[in-house]
Amino acid sequence: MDAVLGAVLALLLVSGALVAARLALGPTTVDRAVALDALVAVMMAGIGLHSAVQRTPYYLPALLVLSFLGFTGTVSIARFMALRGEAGGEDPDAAGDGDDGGGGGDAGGGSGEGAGAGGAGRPNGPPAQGSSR
Amino acid sequence: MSAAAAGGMPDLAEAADVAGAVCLLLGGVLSLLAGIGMLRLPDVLTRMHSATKPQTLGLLLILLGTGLRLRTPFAVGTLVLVALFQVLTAPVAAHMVGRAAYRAGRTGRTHLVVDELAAAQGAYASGEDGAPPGTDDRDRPQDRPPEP
Repeated sequence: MDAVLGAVLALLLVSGALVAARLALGPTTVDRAVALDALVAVMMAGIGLHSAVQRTPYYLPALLVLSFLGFTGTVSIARFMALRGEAGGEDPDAAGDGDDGGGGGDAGGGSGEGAGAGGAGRPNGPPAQGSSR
Repeated sequence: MSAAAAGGMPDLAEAADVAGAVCLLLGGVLSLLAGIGMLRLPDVLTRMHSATKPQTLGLLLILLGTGLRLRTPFAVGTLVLVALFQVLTAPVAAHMVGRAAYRAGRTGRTHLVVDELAAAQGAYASGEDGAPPGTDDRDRPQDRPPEP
């Protein structure tokens, strides 16, 4: 039983390391927001595992707090990016220009740091009307 | 998985412990898969697909395992509350993140098979559903006034 729980701890540690690597690497702010959400979930799993191993219920309110905190953080990051019209490295004015936001994103994807995220080599604008105008 | 908890055998506690350990192990495996996917998948939407594994199913399994090992009403109530809140909020957060990623053009267009949102936006912008052209800007989140 203890070996199984130790194996779960190892799995969670490896998972947290991989998600933290994406948090550090992630080319755009959206990637980092997603990675942060997943990291909070892994931390909640770790606290749950600790409670299960120690058989103590005293850390369970922390799970509740982390759940609230993860949701609030992700939603605020998404709202912030939507209001600013930028998702990491783009020109906010180009992205915030109405339905040409797709065109701004296309320019940002071709201009450098977002190219690794599958953004390279898409000369057609993301929305259909972006290229038709 | 929860069949052992409903067994009603004399060694119910041990069966619940074993079932809880199995649930914890499955949750850990799902978390590891999510970590691998976060690192290897190419763009934001696929990484979101990977990130939801520890958020919902992995965390639910971990919480179920914890509840099966603790077996007190306070602990089970708190765990049910956490699971309920997580299941309620994960789609909302994923929706907002995906919307922001799409608006910013970060959705990895080369891997997208069908893009219904672009077609709908095109139809809406050209006034096919009654709206005059150009009014689709009002739906933009960045064009709304900031909330107080």
